[in-house]
Amino acid sequence: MIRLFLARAFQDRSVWPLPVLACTLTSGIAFMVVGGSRYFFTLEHPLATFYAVLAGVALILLTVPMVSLLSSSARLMARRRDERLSSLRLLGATTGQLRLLAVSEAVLLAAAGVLAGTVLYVALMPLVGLIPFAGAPMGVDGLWIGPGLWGLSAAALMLLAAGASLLGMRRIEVTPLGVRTMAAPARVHWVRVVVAVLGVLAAQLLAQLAGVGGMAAVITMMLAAVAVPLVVVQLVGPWVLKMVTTVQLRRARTAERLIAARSVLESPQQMFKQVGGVSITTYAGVIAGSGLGLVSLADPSQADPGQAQLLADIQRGVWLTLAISFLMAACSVGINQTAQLLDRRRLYASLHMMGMSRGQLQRIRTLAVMRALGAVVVIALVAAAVTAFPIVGAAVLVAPAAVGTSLGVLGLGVLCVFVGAQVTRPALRRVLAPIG
Amino acid sequence: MAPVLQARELSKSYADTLQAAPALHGVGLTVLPGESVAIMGPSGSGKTTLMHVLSGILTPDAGEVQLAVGSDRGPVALSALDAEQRARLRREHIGFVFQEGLLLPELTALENVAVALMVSGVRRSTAEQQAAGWLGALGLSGWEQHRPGQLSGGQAQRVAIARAQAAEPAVVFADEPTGALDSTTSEAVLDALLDSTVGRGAPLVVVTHDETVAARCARIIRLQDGRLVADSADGADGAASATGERR
Ligand SMILES: Nc1ncnc2c1ncn2[C@@H]1O[C@H](COP(=O)(O)OP(=O)(O)OP(=O)(O)O)[C@@H](O)[C@H]1O
Ligand SMILES: [Mg+2]
Repeated sequence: MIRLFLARAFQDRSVWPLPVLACTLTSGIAFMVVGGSRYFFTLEHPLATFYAVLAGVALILLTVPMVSLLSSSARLMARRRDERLSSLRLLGATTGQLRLLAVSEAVLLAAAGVLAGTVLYVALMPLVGLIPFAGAPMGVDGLWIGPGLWGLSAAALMLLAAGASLLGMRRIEVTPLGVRTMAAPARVHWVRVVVAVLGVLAAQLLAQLAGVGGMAAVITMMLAAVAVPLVVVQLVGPWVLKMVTTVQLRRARTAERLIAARSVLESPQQMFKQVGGVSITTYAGVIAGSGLGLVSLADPSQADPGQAQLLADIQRGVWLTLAISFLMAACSVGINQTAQLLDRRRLYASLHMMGMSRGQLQRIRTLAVMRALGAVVVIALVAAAVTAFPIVGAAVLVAPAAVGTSLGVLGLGVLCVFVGAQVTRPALRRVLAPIG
Repeated sequence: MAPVLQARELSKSYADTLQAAPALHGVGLTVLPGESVAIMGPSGSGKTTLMHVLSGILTPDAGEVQLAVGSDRGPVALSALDAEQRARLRREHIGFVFQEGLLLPELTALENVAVALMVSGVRRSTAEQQAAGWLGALGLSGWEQHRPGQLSGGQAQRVAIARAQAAEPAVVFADEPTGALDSTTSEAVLDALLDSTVGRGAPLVVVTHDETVAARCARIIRLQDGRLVADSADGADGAASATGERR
């Protein structure tokens, strides 16, 4: 029965290509990030520890967009599964059997994606390897993940896929008459804000208690500095996005803007998962970029070459982290929006029949994504300017070039997400093709 | 009375089908103001295809459709318009009601109706006002802020009717508008559709499988294998034709 079910899954073109593509992109980027981190953790350099700590911070910052990209891949796998499962239920399959089917399908799709992702990673290595760190390009050797780590990462990705599909199965009830979602989707609530504020206070307290000296203190500080804002943003982000979009909805004067705002409000969490990953990297990137701009100005004549190089490396690392987070957001947007469009093909076709042009329909998606992204980026920028006012303010005045470059990288990132939103164009054209 | 819709010798084949028979073959039809026309016929006989060709969604392989839109302008030949112009004509002068409503699920009932006006450039406040008026006229006062998911099938279909009427189109097309409803609800929805269209002097073209639905229309045409095989408006069967009267 498993064989039959899986064979059917791969025959149906509406089932497998998107999740496999999602998994390919996810694992390709994941391998590259793991390979890059390994490079820094095994660096032979007088300042190796320092490099390793910075790479660790970048890795933590990238987990959020990574996890949301992963979870959108997982969601895509479950997309067409429910209806097929309910027809099996009709044939008398037990819940256990259905679980087994769902998990084996997820693992199979993930495996296909991981293999393709490996190819993607290997193909991109020569290009990414050109980026220099610690005085030399990282190189293909430097980025190679090695068989052990590859196996571990691949296994982790597949395990995540299996886990996500089991979790997804727990949330639905498969009956012969169809699939029912058991719990209503979570609502965005102000409680998130309270939890977030408490988290910040607790972290501050912890940092104070840890007191002076020792590795423990450093680690606590790092956690407080990186992980806590990260969690805070995840908690507060959807709520803030909801507030901003509510205002946008009230102000919407065109049909496209109204529909775009409503589609974000339908599930702010969903949209935040797609674009919210860039909030923390934008926040940290602007502060770090400004700080570095100031430091490198400090005394150009006296700076020793080693230190100058280190500064340049950190600067590059900050930009790279920023760029990767935007790239992941772009992938997430492209995948999720295409899936949503295909799920609603009849609705979109009917809107086109009623006379909405293809341009208008595309604009709804682009607006929804870009206005949400805009809100996230602007809030992150404002937050950075407010919380690190002395650094950012001074940098704007005395090191405008560094600030400008950071903003340039941000702009490129936004452009990247815009391209991600345009990926839905061919799918839209296909959905509307039968209509003149 | 000058016809609102005039179609001659319509033929249409789908390129990607194996069967040689065209979906439409030499179909002609003239629809007068305030007339209600039911299109009947077995599954696959070309009803939906005819409706799509008449409304400029599909372009025919042969034949012509002319639509009299606006108050002072004469008939417009659909074949003279490009895709963008036809889309504009549909959004401004043609109303559509589909079997499953196909409302935007994340919009409120009011917004679903208002958006149909806003796409043609009507200001939001005006659009919402007119939308509320139509919802009220269709017995949905108090339901404006509900989502389609919170409405019954009949209510949702009445929102779809309000949406189709909002721009006061020159003609309304409905493809099995009651196909997903039980018979009592179906009757109420059909009443609403007939009243709101024929009541303001516009013709209604409704595709249906349901004889009781068809019986409520002033005129019935029947298709078979893409050909028009019967039209109650001509010939001796003498059904009330072109009067816009019901019952
Ligand atoms: N998009 C399409 N591509 C290819 N063939 C089509 C397409 N749409 C309809 N056809 C074919 O054209 C013929 C007429 O179809 P149409 O949908 O107009 O019938 P219908 O009378 O509306 O049927 P039903 O009552 O089932 O809705 C059928 O043979 C159908 O298979
Ligand atoms: Mg049909």
